[in-house]
Amino acid sequence: MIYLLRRDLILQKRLLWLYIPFILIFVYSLSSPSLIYTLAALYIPYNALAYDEQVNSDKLLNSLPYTRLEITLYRYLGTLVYTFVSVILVSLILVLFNKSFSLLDIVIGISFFLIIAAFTYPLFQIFKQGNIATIIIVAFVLSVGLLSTFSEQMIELGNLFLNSSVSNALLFSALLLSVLVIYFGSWVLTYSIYKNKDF
Amino acid sequence: MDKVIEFENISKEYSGFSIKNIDLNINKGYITGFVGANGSGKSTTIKMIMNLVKPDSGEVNIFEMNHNNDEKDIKQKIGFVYDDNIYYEGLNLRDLHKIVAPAYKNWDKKAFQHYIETFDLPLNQPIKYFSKGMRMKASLVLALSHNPELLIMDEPTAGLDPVFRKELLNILQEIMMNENKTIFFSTHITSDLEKIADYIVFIKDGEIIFNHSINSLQNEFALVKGDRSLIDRDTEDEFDYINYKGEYFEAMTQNPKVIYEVFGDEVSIDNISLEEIMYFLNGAD
Repeated sequence: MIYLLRRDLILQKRLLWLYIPFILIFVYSLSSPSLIYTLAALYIPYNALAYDEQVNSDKLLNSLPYTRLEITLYRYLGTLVYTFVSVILVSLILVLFNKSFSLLDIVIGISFFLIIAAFTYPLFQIFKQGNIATIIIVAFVLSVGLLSTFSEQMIELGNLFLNSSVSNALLFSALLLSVLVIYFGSWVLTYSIYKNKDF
Repeated sequence: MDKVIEFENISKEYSGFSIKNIDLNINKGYITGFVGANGSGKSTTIKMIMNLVKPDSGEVNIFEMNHNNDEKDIKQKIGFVYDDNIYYEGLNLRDLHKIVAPAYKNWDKKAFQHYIETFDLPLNQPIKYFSKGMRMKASLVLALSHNPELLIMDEPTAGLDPVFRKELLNILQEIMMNENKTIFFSTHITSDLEKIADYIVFIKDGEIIFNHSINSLQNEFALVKGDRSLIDRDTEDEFDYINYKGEYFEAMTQNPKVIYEVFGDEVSIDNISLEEIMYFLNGAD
């Protein structure tokens, strides 16, 4: 499985040099740290998607000794790994440039990204190649919709917790956990489509 | 004889095209050529061997294993070459090697090096700058370096010039020299098959028409030529396909002996080339 992660990095060798400048642009131009986390997390997984669009990579991956379960699971687990890396990088850069940010920014930022990903990945299996831009826009709109509903309830829930003196850490964990449940629900959906596909 | 590939009653329905109850056995240790017109079901069949396409019904067994249970074990033993480009254009062979090699338990770096040198391929040039022939060689290197027992190729000679086609056929023959390897490849260039294939499988409109050894093919089919006046309603039935050319006819038969008994020396009965068999069986007239 780890080799499938390496594949993304090999493919993106050149683009990876632009990763840090890419983050720096957002650090300078955006005031909201959480949005910086979201955009930085998008970089590697979405570049990988763009690469897979160019050639029939499903035909290659499925001809190699990998199962369809592994191929789909790797995309989801891989995305988590890259997200983790992006959080570390952005945090380091923010510290380096003396910009303030909180744990809340990180949690909101990557939750937003993971929700977008949770919408994008199954859509990729439903639509044919060549729709990457449409898919990302649709996923983005759906995510904003879901997250705004979600956040209202989170705030209510938060107030409830605050009143009952539950710690922030627990609140964040609850948020992250629910996002992860949605995220892996999305994997189940993606796999159920991918399992029966013809390449 | 050991079977490497077994199709039992395989069907697959597409809109406008279907594979109908195919039974197919491919023998271990031989080169089998898979012929048929464009759109006859060659690629679909190959994709079913690779589990890229799942049949609607029937059973596919590879090395007596099934993709449902042993997909990874099966694919460890297969090398594949396709006619469309499945490798990332911007990468060079060194990087492609890094992507493909870890997938296989038996990847042999020395074999990889050996093939790179034999085929004279550059390691550091992105494959988008490769010619069609070089791409084919690159695919072969990546397909052969884990020492597969079964080599599957979809139209490997398509779009290659004759010189390179010959080179490729030599390479395949060399592969067959050592060990118990099996090669199954589709093509519509029949002269390639006559050079190297041991068995020929012919598919038409999603149905396997025949699966013969190349030698028995020569015994079972014959080209008959004679005077048109010899053909009447009774004698017509002795032939599979008849073409009329002016005063003469040209026909294919699967019963050369019977033809000889009926017509004797009045007609000429000759060996038939694979290309002519395909021509007649495709009903081109």
